[in-house]
Amino acid sequence: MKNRVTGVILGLLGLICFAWTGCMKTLDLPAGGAERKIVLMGELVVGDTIHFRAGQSVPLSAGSDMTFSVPDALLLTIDDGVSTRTISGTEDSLSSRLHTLLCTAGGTVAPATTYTITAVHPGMPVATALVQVPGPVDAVILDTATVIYNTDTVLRFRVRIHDDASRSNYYVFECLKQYMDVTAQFFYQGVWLPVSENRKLYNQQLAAGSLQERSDTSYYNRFFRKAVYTNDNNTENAYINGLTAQQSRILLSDRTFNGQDYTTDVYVQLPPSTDSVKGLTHFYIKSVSADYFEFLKAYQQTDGASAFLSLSAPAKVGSYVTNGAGVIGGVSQNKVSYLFDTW
Amino acid sequence: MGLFLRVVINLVLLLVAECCFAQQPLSFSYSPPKRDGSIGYFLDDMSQKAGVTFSYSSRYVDVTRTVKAADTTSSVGSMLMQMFRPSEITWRVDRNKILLMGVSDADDDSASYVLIHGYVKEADSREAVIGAAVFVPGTSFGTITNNYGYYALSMPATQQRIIVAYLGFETDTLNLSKEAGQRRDVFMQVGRNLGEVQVLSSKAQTQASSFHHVARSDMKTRVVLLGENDVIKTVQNLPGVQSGSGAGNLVLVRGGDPGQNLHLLDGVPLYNVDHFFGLTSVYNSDAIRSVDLYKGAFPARFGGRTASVIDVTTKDGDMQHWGGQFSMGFVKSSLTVEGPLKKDKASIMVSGRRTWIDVLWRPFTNDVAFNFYDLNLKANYIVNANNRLFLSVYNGRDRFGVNSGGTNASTSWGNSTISARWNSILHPRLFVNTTLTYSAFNYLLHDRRGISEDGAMTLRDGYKGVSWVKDMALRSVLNWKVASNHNIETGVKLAYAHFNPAEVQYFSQSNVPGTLPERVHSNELTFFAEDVVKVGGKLSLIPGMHFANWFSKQFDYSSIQPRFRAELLLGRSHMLYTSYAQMAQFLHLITSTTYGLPADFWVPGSSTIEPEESYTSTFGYRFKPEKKFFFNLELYHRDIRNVTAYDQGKNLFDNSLKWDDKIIQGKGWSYGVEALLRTQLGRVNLSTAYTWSRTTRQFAQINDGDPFPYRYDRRHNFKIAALYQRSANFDITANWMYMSGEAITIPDQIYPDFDNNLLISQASTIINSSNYTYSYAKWNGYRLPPIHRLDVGMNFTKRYKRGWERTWSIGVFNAYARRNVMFVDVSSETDASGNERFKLKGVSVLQFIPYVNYRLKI
Repeated sequence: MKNRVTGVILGLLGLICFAWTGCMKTLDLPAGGAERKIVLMGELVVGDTIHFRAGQSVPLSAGSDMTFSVPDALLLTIDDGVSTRTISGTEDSLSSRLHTLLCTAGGTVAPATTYTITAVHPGMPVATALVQVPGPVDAVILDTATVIYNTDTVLRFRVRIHDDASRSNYYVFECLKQYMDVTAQFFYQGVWLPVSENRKLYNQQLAAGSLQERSDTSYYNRFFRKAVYTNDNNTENAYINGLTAQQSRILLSDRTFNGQDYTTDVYVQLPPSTDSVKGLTHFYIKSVSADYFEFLKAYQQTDGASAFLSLSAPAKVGSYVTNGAGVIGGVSQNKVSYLFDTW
Repeated sequence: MGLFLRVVINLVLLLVAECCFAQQPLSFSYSPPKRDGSIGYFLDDMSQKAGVTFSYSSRYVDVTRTVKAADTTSSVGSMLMQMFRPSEITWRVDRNKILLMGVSDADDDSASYVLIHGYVKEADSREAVIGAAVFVPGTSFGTITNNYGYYALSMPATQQRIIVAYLGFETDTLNLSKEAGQRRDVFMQVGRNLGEVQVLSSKAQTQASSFHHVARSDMKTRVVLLGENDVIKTVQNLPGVQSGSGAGNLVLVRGGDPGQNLHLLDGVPLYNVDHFFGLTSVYNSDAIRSVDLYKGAFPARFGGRTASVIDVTTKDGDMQHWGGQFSMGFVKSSLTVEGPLKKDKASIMVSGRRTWIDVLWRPFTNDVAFNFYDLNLKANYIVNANNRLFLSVYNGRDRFGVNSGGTNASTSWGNSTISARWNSILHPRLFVNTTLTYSAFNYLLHDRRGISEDGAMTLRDGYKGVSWVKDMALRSVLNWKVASNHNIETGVKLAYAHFNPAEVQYFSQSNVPGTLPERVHSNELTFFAEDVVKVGGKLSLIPGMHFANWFSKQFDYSSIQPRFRAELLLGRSHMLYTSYAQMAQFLHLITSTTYGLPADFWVPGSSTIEPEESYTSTFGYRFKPEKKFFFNLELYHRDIRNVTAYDQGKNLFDNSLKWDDKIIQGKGWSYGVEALLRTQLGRVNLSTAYTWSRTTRQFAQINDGDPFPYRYDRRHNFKIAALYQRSANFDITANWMYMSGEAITIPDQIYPDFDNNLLISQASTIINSSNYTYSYAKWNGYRLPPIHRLDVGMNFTKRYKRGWERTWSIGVFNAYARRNVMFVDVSSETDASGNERFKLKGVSVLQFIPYVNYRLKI
């Protein structure tokens, strides 16, 4: 509610501002002296390979070039308590857009394990991230149903969690659509032809009854976040954005049901209402590390749609990298996948 | 006392006076021009040649009697010895004045003074005049009317004339008879001259910098945004008082937070004073009679807040005629009706306001709704000459709602108050005011949703976030005029308060419980006493003490708050003064820094949240050489303990902690210099206020525990206001203000977005997407550019035969369209090379805003 109120007020102010030209002017930057810091971001997911991304921050001060650049000569060590590996960050096709390097190590992430990641760069302080990966998450999807949430058509996931009483657990629910492309082809005169480009010939062959077809499916390592809702008053979302607002993630701690079975509903927007791409829809039930949960709580509060605004009290997104910035979250997850789109 | 002894004493006194105080009037040189003459002739001659002023009563002094002057006469004192028989006349010296008295009166101190008392009221309406000066001309005897228009003046019995004066009214002169204990009610005519009033009495605490009395005429001479003349906007123009951005309703006094101001409406505390996001305040200027602002040197009767007291009194209602006024501006309309229920016995005043601009846009959209209203009602009944009853009621609400695209949410907030008061004159020297008050502030946030499945509504629910405070109090204050130089004020208060700091209520079919309300009941017992003591004719000492005890089942806090003021007159025009005041408050306003959004909550103290305390010292100088010139310079220092704030990243409605675990306490300090200059140059009234100050805060949980500048730590604050009264029907007002930039927190580091680096792009419908994340290290480490602007306005008034008065007001806010930065934006832009580069930009609004207002008074 507070974000809606802020948004409308800002909108009104913006309209007033628009009415008079020259409402914005460039201000002087604060005195220099701030140094860049190593930034570590990503998730260590049980069963997945060890990979995350690393970059550097931009100091907002006089003398700073005020632009992102990818750090060179970044060395990292990963210690899982048994062995230590040394890797280096590498540039990939995404580095120029994300301003970070890809960091990968051999092996897979083990449950109930603590990883210590240390990053070293000659021009920046040594940064260390302590990642505590939880044990397996014990949760199932009881059923799904199509419902109307306020005015949106949504798919309701009814989730039951069997909570482990021996520790504090932090659950995150989210829904991502993985970019996917399906290319339909048919065989004609010794050549496989795409259907979309030869629709007339395809229909002729189909009518003749002598059609040989196949589909070529491509999956991409890119994801599109789908809006989710909750009506669960025990979630953190109830107090951050309000329960009628669309959320990025649903955050739920076991504060009210430690050691018990707990059922909650999560609502996901159905296509084709807002999706601009087609793909495979993944619904995640995650158990995450405590500091990752705290990071996400603050991250949910950042109102970055119009960048930083001094009107609002600064929401301090904590850093869980010592002498650095960012967070590497420890995650154990269950995932179910659905295909709603057609090609 | 024997005759011989009396003569000897007078001679001895004369000798002492001539020896030790060579410049005393009795020792002034004087040679009579002739040997024989009347007493009146010689008194006039001494006045002209020796520069001495004589005061006497014809009851004792026969000015026609002829006396002989000796050739050896060389001084005023020796001449007096020859004119008067010691058995009949004696005299007392007061600076350049000599008071001639009958010996029988001089023997008995009490009989030499008479007590004149009564009410000062407006002649037309019988409204009480607050802060009117009542004084004996040419002497230091004087007082001012209290908040109910009552005065009690102890003055020499030989004096026969008193003057009553107040800004905006014709000065009244009363000729007195010689009876003691006179009751004299004064009825003052409205005057057209808005110039300064010369106040000679040192007892009158007018124009001292820590205290300001704002009359209704003052409020109408300020140009403000959209022409919304407002009490708070007038107060903001005083030295030592800041607004936030310059256009809103924040009142920041000497480094204090908004929640450290005690807002009183007819003696009832108000918890929220904003309408329409700070465009105007809850005080309806059409219903207001006067405003008193205390920034320091707090009288002992005040307590409960640490920075200032803004004491607003509404009109009682015209006791003579029915009438009213209507006004309309861009945003709201106001209607006031007042009149006698029974002439000179009972009256009533009703004043209401409501926005009208929301009615205009309603035909076009219902997606956004905003409006506010408020209602003031006051009734008073004169039981008899010594007893009077009052009833005051206030109710106001703001509402804001959004109903669009699946969002159905609203918020509302407002105050409700009731006060019943009894004024009683128990004795000419004893005035009692007893008040029973009730005050409530409610904040409500409402979010609704509905879920339907297979065409049937399976769930319709929502939640309400509520926060409220309600208090009741019984207070009695006794004012005792002990003697001419001794006035005691004492009182007691009992109060009960009920708080609901933050509660979430659910209305749902799912039977999910909300947060457990942590309601707090508290009690308060207060006792205070203050004594105004005049030492000689120059020094006033005002010691006082305020004791408060807040207690409940969970806590018990007590506070002894000493108060002290002293004023020293140096001649007729100069005054030095100093003060020390300790204040404490049990309530805390937890406020977000968003502009005017209703996200401010009142929370009580608890076992973990201690009362806030302030310690304020002042030292000042006042210079008032003539009627049309006034200058004041004041230094202050204030320490604040247990100042409160939100813990970073926490929200009062966060379900993870008890509400008081989200509050942090720290300390602050502020010091500065304030100067006020008022003068009249022909038809132009000029007022200039300048403040230099420094304000700092320190919390263990913020800024790594290091001190940091308070957000509104503005080094320089300068205001100048000019009123050109061209005629009774036309005037022009111009206000110019300059404020140093405020201190804000901006990121010191920017780093890439977390979700982006998980290779997740954001859905366009989710507003929490961000390409970058911001990190903050230094709190309030960045200074915005200074703010300055010019506001001009004109009033065109036409008066009709029936007494009706119509006024058109036009003006411009920010006439030269200064782009004052209201907030800051950090965003990236692509430069000529195609690189994304961050820029820090300031956004300004409110440039060149014209207004038109219409007012009709009947």
